[in-house]
Amino acid sequence: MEPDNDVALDIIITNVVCVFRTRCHLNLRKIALEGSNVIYKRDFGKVLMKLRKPKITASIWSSGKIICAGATSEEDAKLGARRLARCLQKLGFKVVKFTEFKVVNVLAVCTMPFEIRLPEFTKSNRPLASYEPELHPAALYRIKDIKATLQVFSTGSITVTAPSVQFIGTAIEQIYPLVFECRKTRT
Amino acid sequence: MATAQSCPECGSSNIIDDSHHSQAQLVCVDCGSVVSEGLLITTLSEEQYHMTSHSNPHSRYSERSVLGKQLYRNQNRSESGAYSERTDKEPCRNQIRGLQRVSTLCHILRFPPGVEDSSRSLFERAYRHPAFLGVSLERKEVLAGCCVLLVGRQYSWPVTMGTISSLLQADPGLMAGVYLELVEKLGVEAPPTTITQLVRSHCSSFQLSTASVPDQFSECLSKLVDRASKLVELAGEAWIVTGRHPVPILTAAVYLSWLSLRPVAPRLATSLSKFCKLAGVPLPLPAHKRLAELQDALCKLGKELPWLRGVKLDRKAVAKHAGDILQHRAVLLRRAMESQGGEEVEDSEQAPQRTLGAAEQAACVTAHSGASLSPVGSVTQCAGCEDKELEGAAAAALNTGGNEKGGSAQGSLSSLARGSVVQCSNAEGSVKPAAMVPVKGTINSVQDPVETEGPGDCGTLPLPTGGKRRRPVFLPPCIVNPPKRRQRDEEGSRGREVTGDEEISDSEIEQYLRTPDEMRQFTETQSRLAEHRAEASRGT
Repeated sequence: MEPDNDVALDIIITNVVCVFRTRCHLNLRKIALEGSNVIYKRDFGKVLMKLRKPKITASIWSSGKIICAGATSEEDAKLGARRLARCLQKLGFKVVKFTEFKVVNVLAVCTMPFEIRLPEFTKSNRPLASYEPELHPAALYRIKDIKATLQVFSTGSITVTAPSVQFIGTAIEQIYPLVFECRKTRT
Repeated sequence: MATAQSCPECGSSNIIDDSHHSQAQLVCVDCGSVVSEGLLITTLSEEQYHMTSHSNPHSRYSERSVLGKQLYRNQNRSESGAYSERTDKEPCRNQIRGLQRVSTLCHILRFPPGVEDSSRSLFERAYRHPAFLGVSLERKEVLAGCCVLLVGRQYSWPVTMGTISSLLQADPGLMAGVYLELVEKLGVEAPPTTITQLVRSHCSSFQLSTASVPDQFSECLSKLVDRASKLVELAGEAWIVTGRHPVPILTAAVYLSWLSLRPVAPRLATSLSKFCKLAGVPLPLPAHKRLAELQDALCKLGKELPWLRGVKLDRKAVAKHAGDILQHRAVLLRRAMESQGGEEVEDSEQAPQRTLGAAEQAACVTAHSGASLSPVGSVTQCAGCEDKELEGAAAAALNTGGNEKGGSAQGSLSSLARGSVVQCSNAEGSVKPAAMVPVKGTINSVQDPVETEGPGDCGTLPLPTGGKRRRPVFLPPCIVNPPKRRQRDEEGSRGREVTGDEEISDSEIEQYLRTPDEMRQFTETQSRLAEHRAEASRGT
């Protein structure tokens, strides 16, 4: 049988965090009064608004800066953010704009079809990799140029955090040969 | 600074303490000249301390402090040097205390002198690093412990972070943060302590000598260490160690070893918590779970013992047979794979490198990835190799079940094992990996067998294609009990492509807005609640 050149790995995006600005001041008390899906966090000076579709949670500050989290893709995050801006418009803030939208963080999970020997992985990848079993069960691997952080678990599961989905793919491609060298078979 | 006993102007010794608004001054009564100012405290001890401040540039009265600058303002700058030009800084009070703390910790942990010197020099280096200069005192205190821990790990001294944080009575989270920062900023490498290194030190903390406990409960340390090490290795293979804190596993292993070394009725009746009280050791909370997992692992292997076939083996009874199980665990593991492995799955292109056939399977029980290459325990038994002599010896050892013969067979087994280990690793080189699945041609090293920790590790041997894959006996807990995934209904309904720029209909937004009635009710309820709270507070 000829070996394939590609490995099909399922990368599941679990969270996308994005920010945008409305370019106008927002009255948080009014939002808390007139919105039905909001929680007013007076101590932190923000309002949490949750949308059902897509399932996202937004933190809204009175300066007009909004952070949305919980989407499962970049497009969903943009759609959710736009829905939120429209919701704010409907609440009475007519001058709300949708500007400076940016995806700041994407979290994804990928499972390798083999288990990984973490001490060996850490030894061969110092100083980028760090493994402290007393603190956390996974080895932490940082890729500086794409600003990605990977948590490599010995069960083969890898959690990747990066600024965009494309960087996540790059990070997985970079880490695969390194973890493949340190794989172990099940006894 | 000269003692203010004579005025430099007129030579008079009639100097009084006066203050100009809030500034203390020493003034000559005869000529009225200000002898010195800014010296807020004029007690003898403080003056004496101040006189010695030249040797302590970080003191309150040193040239660099604000108070010191006031003090030295009137002096000739080029002479006194209002700004210190010293290149060799003498240690400040906190640094001296920190060094003392490091020494104390080293003495408590019984480090050899060389290790203590390394700890002290590392602490000095770390203390002067910019990352630790302006930090809180708490962090500096924890820094001492982190330096000791780091150097201990470099010298393979078995010490855990938990031990040091309890000695310093520091927050473990803070300790973790400082330790990671220390490693990163100073670029120092330290291999983490493996669980097998900790066995001996953990066992020695149990007070089980004849002096402290009754005879039936006392146990020899070396036997306990030996048995516990084997149990910990088994735990490593059974996915109990991975990702878990080492101390509860060690506690559970020591308890099981103690039970199995002399399984008399009083011992068997003692629970884990009673045992820890007896031995004077704190009981960590997860230890019960680890104990149950260890017992389950022993049960799985114990079922394969010929003289236990048909006997119902549960968690309570398995302690009696733990000795035999551990002695023959290599062969038992292989047998368990064959009999308890369950369904044989036809293996297609999917992950051919996953598991191996029974014959090649790692009954080459190496230390788990969490354990090091310590020679404690018979790690390098390679009974699973295709060596019929070995098989025969192992089977003979099992079938007789007798201690003596089994022991001698085992002795020959381990000596043969070393020879066959070499064969095993040679065989690895000759076997061509079949149907490896490289990622876009980036992996070229797949073809070479990777040298891992244990010499008996056949882990890189790939499965021949089309072979049958057996389910392994031990699986990671997250696979045995998978977490419940959230219902992903949205995925099905949103099978369509989402671009992010679609039209947003008003009807979707309406659901998020309150109607005027709701708003009125909300404000009324809020005001009523506020009144109620105000009344309650007035009433109390």
